[in-house]
Amino acid sequence: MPSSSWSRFERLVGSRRVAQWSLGTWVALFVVWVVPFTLTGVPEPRIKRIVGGEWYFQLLYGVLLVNVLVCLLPRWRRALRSARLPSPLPADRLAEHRRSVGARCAATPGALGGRLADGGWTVVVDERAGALAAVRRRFSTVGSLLLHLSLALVLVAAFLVPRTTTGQVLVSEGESFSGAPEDYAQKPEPPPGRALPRAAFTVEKLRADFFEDKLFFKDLRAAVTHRRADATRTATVRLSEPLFFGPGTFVSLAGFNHALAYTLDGESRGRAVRREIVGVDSFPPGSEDKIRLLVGQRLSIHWAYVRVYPDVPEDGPSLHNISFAVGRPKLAVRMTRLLDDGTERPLGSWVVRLGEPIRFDRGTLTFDAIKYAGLFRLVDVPSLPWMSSAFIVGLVGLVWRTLLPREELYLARGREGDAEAWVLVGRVDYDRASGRGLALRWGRELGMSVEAGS
Amino acid sequence: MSGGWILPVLIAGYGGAAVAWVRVLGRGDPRGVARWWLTAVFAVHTAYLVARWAVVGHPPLFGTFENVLAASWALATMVLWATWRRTGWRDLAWASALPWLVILPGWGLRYPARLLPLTISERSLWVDVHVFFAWTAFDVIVFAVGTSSLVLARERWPERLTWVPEAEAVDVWLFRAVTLAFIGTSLVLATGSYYSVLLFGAWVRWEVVQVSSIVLWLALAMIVHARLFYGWGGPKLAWAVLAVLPVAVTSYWVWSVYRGTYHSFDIPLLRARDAGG
Repeated sequence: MPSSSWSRFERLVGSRRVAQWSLGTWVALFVVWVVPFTLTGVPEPRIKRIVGGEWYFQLLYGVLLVNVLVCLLPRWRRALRSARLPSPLPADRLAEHRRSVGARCAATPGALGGRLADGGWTVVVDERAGALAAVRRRFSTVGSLLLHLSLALVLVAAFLVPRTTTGQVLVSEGESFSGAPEDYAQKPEPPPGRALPRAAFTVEKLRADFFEDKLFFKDLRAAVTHRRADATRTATVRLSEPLFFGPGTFVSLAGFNHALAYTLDGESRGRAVRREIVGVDSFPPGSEDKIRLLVGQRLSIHWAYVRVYPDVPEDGPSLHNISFAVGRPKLAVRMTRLLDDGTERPLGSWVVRLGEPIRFDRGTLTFDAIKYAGLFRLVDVPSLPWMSSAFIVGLVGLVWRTLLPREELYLARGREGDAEAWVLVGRVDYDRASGRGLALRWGRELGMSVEAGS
Repeated sequence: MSGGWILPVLIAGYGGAAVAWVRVLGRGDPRGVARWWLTAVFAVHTAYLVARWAVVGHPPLFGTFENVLAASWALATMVLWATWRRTGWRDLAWASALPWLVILPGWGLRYPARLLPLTISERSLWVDVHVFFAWTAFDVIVFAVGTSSLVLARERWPERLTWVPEAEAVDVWLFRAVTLAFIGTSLVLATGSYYSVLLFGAWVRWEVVQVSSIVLWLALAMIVHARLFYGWGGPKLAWAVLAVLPVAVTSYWVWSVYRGTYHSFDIPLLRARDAGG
């Protein structure tokens, strides 16, 4: 592109005005549209589709990205090139500067320059004009560069967000998860070209602590073992402390449920005994889940609908539960048989303790144990390294730019014939109004008698 | 110890400090009575927070009651720091923060003071850091909004507000506050988003708190750019900062009245005997 065309393009697309209008449009769209959506029950996936998928939002993001790149890249080049020395400020016009400070000092410009150099300033002395200029923190612009670079990284990460894969699996104590698709309770649908999260582990122990007798988890953690680098390792997994299997692949303990160990004597003649541990969605108490049972020589399908009451001290039919932790559990079970026409025929209801048999049709069902089961969430977030880098780079840039702004200091002889009169001007590029404070402070540091009220 | 008594004490204490400050306003430094009064109330406030933390085992960040205590404590810290260090903006800090030091505990009276351990989703250093930056940013936003109000009020009634520092100095403090609020909000968003990925596998939950925080961040970015690019100052800058107030209040407090957010922690406690019918 010819340089004049590039300049026009740069002025148009990379202008500060476009930056402000884009930000303003973004704010306005969120305020009048997205925020009300969040308050009026619009489902989260729909809001996500609007903000991420609608053309006007995408246009806005595109404009902002182009604006940031076009606006900043040439400016940084120029800023870094000219950063080494103080910006020109004519010595004979310092007194007219609106933030100038008067001072008195008998030292020569060279001596003052020496003191400034000791304080970390880069100094240019003009002995003939009786003036000097100094600069420090000259790479402050790099902070701005990093901050805006992080926005570009966020955008790259945003493109990777749709490639996130999430799945859930219910694993009880002593059981393993192989990572196979059929082992998922809620199988993820990885985007094209992505595999399921690579994670395999065994739950050794699951601990759930409740606050008093309330439905309120004080602690929920699983001790798991997993293979890494040909060695078996043990780790603790919680909701807030996932176990990482790769840079963006991890598993966390997202929920709690029960697993029931049962024995099914599926034949009245005592053959075909089946023992199994099965995870059920029975928490909190009162939630009903069903177990599929194959009974008899014809393997007819039966359903056991189960509710788990973890701690019921009273005997008899009472389901007066006093705790969420497993103590003296009872199970409320109703059985049905699936008929050929697809309907279910009720076979009866029971309230039983562990070990008490339930006899139905030609089978006997006994629940032997209740275990804790963890609902593990497996997540593969390819954007994690990008977004984390963006956050770190952005925050470093933000702090660098704002807390260490470029400072410039100008000193020139004041009134003609008065060898001790000086004029000081300070400039802080991020915080222009504090330039006067800089001049006052450094005037005093240099041993000058500063006229604060001037 | 549940400690519901602390809020009336704070309302009376900080309210009294406000009255003492108004009475000595314009009569010069050191504003002795108001300063010592505020320090005494702050000491009670701090002692209560420390004791509560020791008993319940976590910093005050769970539910509205604890958060009004944390937010008001952070505000009182800012005022005391400005006062004891005799900064040029101490009167601005008093004027900005004192109404909130009464309003926030008053708001907290609506909520139970019960001692609850942290639930599992809040047991993380990320949450502690997130909340710390949130209340720090809220602090400086309160300061910026209060200072902006005074700038505009002085335009209208210059003879009554002679104690407000000169316009240029106010602009400097205001811009620094906006910058700090921007840094704080950036940290709040970054830590919150990262933790959101760990919890849900999603960087953004499209719910009111996170969305309004993004709006707040964008609005603060706009003000920073307006100052740097176009040299905004005086009433123009003040109006821009005031426009941020509704977004900031939504972002920081909506969760205490609106339950449809992942930030709501005034959890109704279901007893085991009531579960499952």
